[in-house]
Amino acid sequence: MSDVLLSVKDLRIVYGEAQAVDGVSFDVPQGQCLAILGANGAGKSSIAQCLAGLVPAASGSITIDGEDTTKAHGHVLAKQGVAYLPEGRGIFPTLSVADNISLGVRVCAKDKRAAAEERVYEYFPILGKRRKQQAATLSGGEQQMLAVGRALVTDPKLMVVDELSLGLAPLIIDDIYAALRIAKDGGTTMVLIEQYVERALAFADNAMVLRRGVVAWEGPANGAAEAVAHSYMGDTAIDTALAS
Amino acid sequence: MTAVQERPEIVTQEVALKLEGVTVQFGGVRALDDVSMQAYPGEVTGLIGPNGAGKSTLLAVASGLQPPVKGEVFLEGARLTGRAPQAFAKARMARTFQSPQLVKDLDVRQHLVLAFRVRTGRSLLSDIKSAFGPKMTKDERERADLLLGSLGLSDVAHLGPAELPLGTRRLVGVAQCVGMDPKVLLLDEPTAGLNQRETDRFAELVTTLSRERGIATVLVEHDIDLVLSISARIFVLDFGKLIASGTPSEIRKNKAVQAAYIGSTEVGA
Amino acid sequence: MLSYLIAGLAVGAVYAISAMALVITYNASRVFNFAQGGMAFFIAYCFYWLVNDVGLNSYLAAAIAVLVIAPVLGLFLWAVLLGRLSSATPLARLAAMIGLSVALTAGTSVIFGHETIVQPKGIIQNSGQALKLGGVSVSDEQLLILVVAALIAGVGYLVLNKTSAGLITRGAVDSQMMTVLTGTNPGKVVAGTWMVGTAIAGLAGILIMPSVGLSAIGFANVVAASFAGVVIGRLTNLWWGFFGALAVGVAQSVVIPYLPDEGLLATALRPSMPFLFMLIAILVQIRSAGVRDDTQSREVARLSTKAESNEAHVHAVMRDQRGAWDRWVGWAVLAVVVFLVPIVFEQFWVGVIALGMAYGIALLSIRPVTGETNVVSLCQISFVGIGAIAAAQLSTTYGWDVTTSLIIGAVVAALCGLVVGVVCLPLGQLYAAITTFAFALLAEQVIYTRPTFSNNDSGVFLDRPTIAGVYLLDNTQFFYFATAVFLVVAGVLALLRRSTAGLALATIRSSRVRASTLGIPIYRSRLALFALGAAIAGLAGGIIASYQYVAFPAGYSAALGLTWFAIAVAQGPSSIGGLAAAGLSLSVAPALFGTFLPTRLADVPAVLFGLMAIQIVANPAGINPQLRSAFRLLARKLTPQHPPNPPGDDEGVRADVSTNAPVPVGSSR
Repeated sequence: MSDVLLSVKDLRIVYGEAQAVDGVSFDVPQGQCLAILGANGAGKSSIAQCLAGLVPAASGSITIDGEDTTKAHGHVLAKQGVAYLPEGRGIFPTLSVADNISLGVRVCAKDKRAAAEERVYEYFPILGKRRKQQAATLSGGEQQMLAVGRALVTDPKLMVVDELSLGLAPLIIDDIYAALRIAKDGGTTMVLIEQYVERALAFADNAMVLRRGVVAWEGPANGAAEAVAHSYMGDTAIDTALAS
Repeated sequence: MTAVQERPEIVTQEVALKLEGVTVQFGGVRALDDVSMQAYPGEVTGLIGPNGAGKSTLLAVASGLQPPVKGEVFLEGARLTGRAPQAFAKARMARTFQSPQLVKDLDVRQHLVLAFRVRTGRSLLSDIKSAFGPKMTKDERERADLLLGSLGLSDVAHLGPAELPLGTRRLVGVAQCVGMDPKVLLLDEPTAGLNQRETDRFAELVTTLSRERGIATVLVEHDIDLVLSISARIFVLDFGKLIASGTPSEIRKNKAVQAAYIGSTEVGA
Repeated sequence: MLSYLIAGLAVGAVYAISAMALVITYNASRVFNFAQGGMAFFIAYCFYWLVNDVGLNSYLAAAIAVLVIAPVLGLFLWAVLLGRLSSATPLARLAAMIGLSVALTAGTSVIFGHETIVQPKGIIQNSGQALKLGGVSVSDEQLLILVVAALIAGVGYLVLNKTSAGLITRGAVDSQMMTVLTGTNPGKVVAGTWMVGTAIAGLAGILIMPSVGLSAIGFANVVAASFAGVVIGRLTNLWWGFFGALAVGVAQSVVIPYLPDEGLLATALRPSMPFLFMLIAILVQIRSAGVRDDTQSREVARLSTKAESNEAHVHAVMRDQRGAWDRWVGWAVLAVVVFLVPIVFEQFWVGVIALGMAYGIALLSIRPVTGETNVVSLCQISFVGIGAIAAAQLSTTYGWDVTTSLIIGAVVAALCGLVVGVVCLPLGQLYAAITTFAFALLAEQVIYTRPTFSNNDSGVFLDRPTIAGVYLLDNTQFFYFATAVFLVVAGVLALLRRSTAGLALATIRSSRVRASTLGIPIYRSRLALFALGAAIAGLAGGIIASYQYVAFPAGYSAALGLTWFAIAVAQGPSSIGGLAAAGLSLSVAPALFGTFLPTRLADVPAVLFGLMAIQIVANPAGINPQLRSAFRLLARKLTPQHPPNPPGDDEGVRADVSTNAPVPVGSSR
């Protein structure tokens, strides 16, 4: 199972007028999870959007499952099993829960769609009670469940998750991570962008810290906490924290 | 060139900017909840916090763009709460924006000339006179070039914003603010999208400007390292609330701050 | 009463169908279809041609026009233009759609013939009474319209809510990004909505054809009336738009029995009702963010970088002072032209050119409004009309001196400008465009039709002025006069730009938050500029009328205003030379075509003006500034180099930035 599913080489992203990502490379083996950490504006979300085909790469290459997807469009990638959960809420806000899910499972083959729709409600039974409700009127946690659920049931080969827990209560985050865990155990490869460092490190196999668009640190998630703290608050911060 | 205030333990100075109990509500969401902060002349005051903590909203309140539901804004003791942004500018409050918001039809020098003239005050008569005079007076040109020189922008004085890289545009934005001769300068994520070298240069310039001109600079930044290294005092927001304030060394040791950023209190354990 | 209700329902149903098409396309693409009247006109003409020239059965012809020709037209326009507009600035979108409207309308006349067909037959060739309802007879045409509208609403509802195509469309309206992430190409959805939207627009055109005739203006008025419904639905709500437009039509009809027999209300209330509805709807909604800001900009993430860099290049070239001596070449050429025109040309052509200069003054009013304030004002032509009317009244009816009347006419127009500005300046660009267009139509219906002003459609006499003791009877003298006024107005505008106020206005234009935090008053400055634009337009109106010896209000229609706007924006809304060229072409091109070419081609200039406006999507600065910068580059090549400028550095303005600043990121060529 150590085949590399996602391979990013020397990726550069020029975003509007700023250089968001400047020469980042990493591999994610099949079935593993890479956490990308770093302060806001470090370039994490740009990488995620580039993996999903929403933002073009200025240079470098992205290979998913042996196929060069650097120039692929987002809608093509979605059909090929790359599921991206955008920052904020990945839902159609004015559509009903059921409509959201039927649109979500359109990336599956026709005969599998009905079954997939039902699985969303198995993952998150609360959504079953809200089928007719407009998605924007759900609570933040339910919206995120809807977003995660519709992505999970398409059995993606790569999931890119951007700031999943932003603004959510810890208990709900636990539920959502539990669902992600099931998918990961089922063999889905993941790239996780998360501001709650501790949670991300507990979930991921490897971690990477970005600082101003370049990789500041990378290594196994286990024991990465110190490096991460360095990246966030600078070297001096850690020294004082250790001293205190 | 003088009056270098070292560290903030000397709190005898006059407060330049004072926010008191500021509360802002968007729909049902409290973006800011009873936040108070102060900034003193000649030093950099850091304002940090995780994504969505309310830093930009606080800057909007301090610059008059967002009237608070509750709370007060004072500039050198004068109450500005509820007034238009223009009134804030007249009271010599200047701010930059994340995107530099320069004027595509004007060159760099003209940006400064406008700031000078706004500072001196405009009237219909002065505007009409200016139409028949030179584009800028000799005095204005000299002042502009002096200021641009101090920011290392002499080479780009005649260029328009579209011809400048982002980092330089940000500096021009700061230069225009300084041209207003402000008492308070609010900087909104001035180094986002800059590389480390540009960031270091920016940090140095901001510190020097504040000291030399006695400006109370408020710096909103995601790069905590940068804020810790140049601020005299720091205010930390999380979920719209002030969770800590103090000197850089106090902030470094503060557990609540570490928790807000790292999501854990076990840093270094 | 019932008969008025049924007649109103039939008219309202057409408005409603038209409104539906507008909302569908706007929702999917964020492009407001100003060209819908032109589209409907083209498709209705195709239908008319299929029936009368090809000899098809009218039902079959309608089916071909609506189900084949219209979708193909929609797809074609999407492929060449509409699909690219979502990455253009709101101003460029509006200008391109207005250009498309002008080009389509004029192009239809070029293809099918120039004459207006007053009473074309519709789908039902021999209309009679279909049924009696409570003692009121309903014609089968009315019945058809009502049935079709009900069908379209019903089918529309079912498709949107019960089919997967409808679900995908609703999803795409909701979130472009989520559409991509769920595996659908949003471009296809947008293309599909343009095909459907064009078909529905064409159907509305065929249905209304028997009552308004095959005239471009009639169609423009119907679509403009449906704008009222669309505004009621805040541009995005399909059913509010549909029923809002229906209500407008009904209201227009049911007031008839209550109208007085004579006076302003009798003639003006009915046609102006849609625009009153629209204004009320906007005033009610004015506090909501969507109306004040640009609803269009919701999806404008990355503006077309090529267009931006084209514009930046023009700015950069012109900013460099090396080679600036080329402006003396311009002045010299101008002097020679002014000297030569009366010598070379006959009196007729001198007159045409003099009128062109007067048009140029009118178009100069676009510089303070669109160039400086960034407002798309489609009612500049109305201020021209108002200025003309006021001057003619003062001079001829009240016996004032002509020159004084011209100036007072400008003042009257400025006051009207203040009123319009107060309403539309707080609005976003798109809403402001719609509002000013509504005002232009309102002026056409309410002001121009007053018997005192229209004088039985022959207009009111206005004499030529006497300047410094010279009565400008001669076209040559008038040419000098118009040119002099043009230069004075242009000079005032140039001085304005170099003043402190000019710097402040440039800041407001680029960034309002920046301006407000610099202490620059925004609303007041913009209002003053809008009024200045109206004053210039009013002055031009008086001059045009006095050249023609008549203030003929019908000559200043809202539809013609679109053509004026298109050509002005194409040439460059802030370029004085460009506006002069635009004014001259408004007068000279039709004269040339009228004199030397068959009448059939009389609309070709308008087609060209429209197409030129469309190209600003790629070159936002406009044609004239582009040529100007090319000329400056040439001048620079001919200039001996100064030491600070690297040799042979044609366009390397960026190179100057080098040493202490890092490489610009977005600028790799």
